[in-house]
Amino acid sequence: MSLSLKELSNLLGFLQEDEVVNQQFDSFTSALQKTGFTKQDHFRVGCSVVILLQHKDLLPGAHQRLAAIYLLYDMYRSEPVSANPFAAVFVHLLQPSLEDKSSPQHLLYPAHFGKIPPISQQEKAFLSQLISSPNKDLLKKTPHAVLSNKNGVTDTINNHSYDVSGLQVSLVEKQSQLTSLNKAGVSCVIASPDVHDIATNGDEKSSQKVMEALLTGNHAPSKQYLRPAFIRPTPPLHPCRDELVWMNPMDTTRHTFMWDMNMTQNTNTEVKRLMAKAFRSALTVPQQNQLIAELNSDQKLVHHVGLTPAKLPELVENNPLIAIEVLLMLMQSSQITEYFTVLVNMEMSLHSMEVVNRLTTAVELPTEFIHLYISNCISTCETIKDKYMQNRLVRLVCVFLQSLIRNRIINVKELFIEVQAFCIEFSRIREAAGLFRLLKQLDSGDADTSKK
Amino acid sequence: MSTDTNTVKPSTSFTEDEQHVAGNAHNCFRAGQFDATLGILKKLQKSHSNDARLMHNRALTEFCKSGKTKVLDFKKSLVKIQKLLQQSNKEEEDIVLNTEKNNYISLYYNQALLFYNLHQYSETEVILGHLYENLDGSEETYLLKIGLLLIDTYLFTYNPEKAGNLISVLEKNFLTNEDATKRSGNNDEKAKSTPTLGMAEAESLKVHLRYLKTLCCLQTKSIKSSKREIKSLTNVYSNSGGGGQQTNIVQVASVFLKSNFECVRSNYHKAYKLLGASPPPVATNVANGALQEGISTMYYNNLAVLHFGMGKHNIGSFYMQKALQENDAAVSSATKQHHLNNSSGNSRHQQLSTAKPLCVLNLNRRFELAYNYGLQLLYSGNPAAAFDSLLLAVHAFHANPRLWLRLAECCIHKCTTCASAEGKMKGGSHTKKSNSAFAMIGSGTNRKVVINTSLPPLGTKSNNLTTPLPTLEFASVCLNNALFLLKEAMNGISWDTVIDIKKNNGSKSDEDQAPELIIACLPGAPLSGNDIIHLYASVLANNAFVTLTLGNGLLALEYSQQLLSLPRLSGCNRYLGNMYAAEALVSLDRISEAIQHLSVEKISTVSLEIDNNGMKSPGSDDGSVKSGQNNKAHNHNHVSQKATEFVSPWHFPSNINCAHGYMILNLANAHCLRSEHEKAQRLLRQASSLVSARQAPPQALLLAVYLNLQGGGNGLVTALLMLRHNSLVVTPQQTSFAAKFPKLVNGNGARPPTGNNSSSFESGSSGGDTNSAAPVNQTRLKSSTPQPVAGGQTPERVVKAKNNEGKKRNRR
Repeated sequence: MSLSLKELSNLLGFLQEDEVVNQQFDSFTSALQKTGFTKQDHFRVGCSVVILLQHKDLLPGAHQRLAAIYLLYDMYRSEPVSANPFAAVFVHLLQPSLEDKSSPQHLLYPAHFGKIPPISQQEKAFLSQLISSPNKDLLKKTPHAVLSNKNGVTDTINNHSYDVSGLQVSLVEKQSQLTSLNKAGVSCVIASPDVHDIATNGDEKSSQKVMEALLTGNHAPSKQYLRPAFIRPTPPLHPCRDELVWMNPMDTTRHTFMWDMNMTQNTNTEVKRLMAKAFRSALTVPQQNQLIAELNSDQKLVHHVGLTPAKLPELVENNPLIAIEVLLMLMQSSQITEYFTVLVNMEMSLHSMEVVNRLTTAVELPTEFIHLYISNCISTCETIKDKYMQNRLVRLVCVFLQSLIRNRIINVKELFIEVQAFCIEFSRIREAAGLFRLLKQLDSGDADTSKK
Repeated sequence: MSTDTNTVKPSTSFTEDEQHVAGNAHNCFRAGQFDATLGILKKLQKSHSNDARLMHNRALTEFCKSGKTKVLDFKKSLVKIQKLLQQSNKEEEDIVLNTEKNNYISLYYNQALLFYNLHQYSETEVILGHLYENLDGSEETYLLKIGLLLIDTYLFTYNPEKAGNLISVLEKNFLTNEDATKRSGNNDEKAKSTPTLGMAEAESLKVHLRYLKTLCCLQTKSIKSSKREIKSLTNVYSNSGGGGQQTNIVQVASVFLKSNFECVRSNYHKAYKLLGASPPPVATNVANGALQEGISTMYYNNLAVLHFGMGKHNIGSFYMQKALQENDAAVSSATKQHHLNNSSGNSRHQQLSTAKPLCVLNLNRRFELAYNYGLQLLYSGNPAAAFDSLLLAVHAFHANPRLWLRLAECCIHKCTTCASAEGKMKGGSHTKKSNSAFAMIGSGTNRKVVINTSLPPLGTKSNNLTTPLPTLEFASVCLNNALFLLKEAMNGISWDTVIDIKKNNGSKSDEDQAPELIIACLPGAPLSGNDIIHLYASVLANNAFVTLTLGNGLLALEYSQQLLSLPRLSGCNRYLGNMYAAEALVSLDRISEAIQHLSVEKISTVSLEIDNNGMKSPGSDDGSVKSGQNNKAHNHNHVSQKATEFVSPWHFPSNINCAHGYMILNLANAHCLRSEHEKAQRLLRQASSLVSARQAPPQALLLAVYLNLQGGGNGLVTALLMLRHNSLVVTPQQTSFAAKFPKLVNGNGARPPTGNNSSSFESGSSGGDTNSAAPVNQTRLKSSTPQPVAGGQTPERVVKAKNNEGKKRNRR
């Protein structure tokens, strides 16, 4: 918004008192163009002009001032006055000012900061005419003519009361769209005449210097404004906790690249693949046969097919036959107890029962394992909600128990009370009743033998 | 490739001859005869062109042959082999695929190790995790190798719990037998157990696992167990003291651990004594053992960390610099050494000499160092350099939200301190910083006072957002990154659960119930619970600040409201949130809402610590941890306070009074904008009583001047006086300057002028209402300021003033 040094001198040259005095107003436009200001520059020029007007000492000549005011109008002549960015200046100037009556001290020390000093009646008349109804005659005048027109004063006073209310309303309307923060700015240049420094008073050069300082440069005061500024504390640094990296030596020599030892070993990838599949879904009969054959061919292979205790339930559910085979193979391994624990704790199902049943017939299982499994089954039966499933499961358990008892794999005595309670609870089911009878039979048989 | 898919499966089985040859290849490989190995492999490949294992071993051999320099080639070929395998398994499901991976353990392990050496720990973790899960118990050598690497990886990614679990698994599998045999002296049992490890090997593994365990304990910050582990470890070390070189390293390691332990307990001085007492690392040209390499880098790094803990950021950054130098030196010397060892008259030696072998890549810890260095610089008030350093670190750790916040902080502090530094330059050291509140232009009648309104512009315009420069625009990019990362990590988890977990931690019982939200912040320790919310708050506060400064009030309001809605906030952030929200609201012309934010009662502290709502309770071991943390927290608080004081002289209030003062000033600003000048004046006076003159921000003066300028005739004079004397209050002696214009000045001073150097301040600021305003508080302040600039008072004027004062009183 500031001017360059050249532009400033151009502008000042244009506003020279001697130059302006007898220049017709309508020639201003072209003259301004001649000095090199285009439409885009107008706002900057206008801003500078306003500052010059605010400080009377910088633009002392009466004609100059009038010309400057006219310039503000002229630059935006093509648009309606209300669209003129400097319309507020006109409103201010045309207001009936109280300052007229004030003491002459103000000349020495401008009390009203940031306000353009009042203008004479003649000027007012001219300005109001200019704003309300500009005509060619008016523009034919020169600043000198306006200022010296003593007659006109009375005329215009009579004819016009400088009614600017319309303009004012439109201005207020415009400003209401602005935030109050934006409306709050005031000029940051304060006149502070040094009355004691008489030597430089009225010095042409000094005022030139001041104007340069005010209006040019990147940080020209004309660009700036004073308005309430909020204190915006900078956020302090986020507290630093455990953020820095402490380094401890790490022994990286332990990690070496591995040679693939299985190279050219006709490895059991196929077995592994089948096994991996077996965890997911039921295998076809040929696949099962192949897998079992492969596993049987190499006793150690079973350790290398990716079977872990955690995966046993999946295998049992999907391929109970394979699970049985594999478990039989693993009987000698140290991990077998882990497999058993998993098996006992897995959800009870036909498949798991089948596996356990087959296991009991094939090898001798630890009794506590079987007991645990049975009580697990019983409690599952008791807690299950679905009636249909319950019936099914109870039947299964009963048959399972009967077979265990008949094969003398478990000793009924140790589980007698538990099983009996189970039978009584589900006595409505035929198999349970059968089991109960079997129990009684055994009991009496035992009693008989003991009697003997 | 597509035609090969079927042949990957061993369609043609290997003959016994070939198996024998393969054994030879392995022997050659072990003997380091890579050329011979390659020859054999090539021959084998003729008949089995697509065997994955062959391909893998060939790639490995080629890699080793290059002196482990062709890292990229190796990586590529590994990926290629994997793709081949994947293609052949396309129809299979994921689970099958994962188990399938275990058929090629070497392949995946090597890839993981490669990533590990390249410091890409998360990739390593993923690969090894899969392998480890699907490992069946029989493969013990694999278990050991994978386990050890995985432990290291967990330690690097701050997963001490997982690492600890794994350590105990390994101990169970490999050490219990030995222990048992040792105790009973029974050799039979040992023979029976799988003899995977020799005696010496087991012993070294035991020590190694101990060491790792200690690291785990240090990471979990459990003081007691760390102490125990360190003690037993040093015992082991002192027992096993043998070869000279080895013990030296061991000593260093144990010193590091001890020092680290003290550092964890925030006993920085003790830690420093421990570390400093250890012999300064000798520059070792005998690159022997990985422990040795880069030890001096670590030494200086750790020294720097300690100094940082003590709040001596400048010394810290000095040591950090040294660590960086050592790192570079170590890397270059190791590279040289490596090539010397491997050259053996190789013609390609020349060409390769710049390529860095893998072990050197692993040795290089530039990014971590850069991270540490950047933090040190930031705290030592050198944000520009810190920015550069952290920018380097962000290449490696771009997933760390805290790092992004730090980068943003660099930008912010660069921009804001530049401004204040300029002010200082102008003002000189003696005068007040806001001496440049106005400038005189011209002389005589033309003399003008130009108020220096512009707090220097912080944002630089028209900057390309993507170029990383320490600008506020870039800060906003960084903060958005941080915010994004945090939001993604939280992934819809509500703050309540984040904090609830913290609560549960006290009782320890239901810890397993909800998985604790942990946000990794590599290379630093991860965040959890309160730390997350604190970081989130800081990011929001900074973001609000940046957006506000960049002029985006709407966004700033959004951020500050988010900030204020967090369930737990540090006093500082609550304060900032309210201040920013208010300013943003004002810029949106919602002044009455803004005023609501500016109520002093809400702010009781501006400490950086999160208010804990009395939640420090836990029991024994935990308690000691907590107390350690509190201690540290206190320390840090202290430290950062210092740092902020240093970095931003007036930007952030140093105490609660000052903070209140600023807030009231902003309130005055808001009222002023509503043209409630009287109220603004009153608030201004209240604020100036809270803020000491030294801390008074330029905004306060400007507001006072503004109010006086708006006030009309008398105000103008007062405003000028305020500017001249750079104070919010005008003394009678000063008003005498304006006494030449008796009508305009309406002073109330009856005190005779006492001279230029001591001026008394009065609460009544100026203008017409000075009369009515009773002097609320009379603070006497010594202003040691020399009279500013030309046009001050001359003795002549003072005399005049005296005369005029008499007149004035008469008139009253």
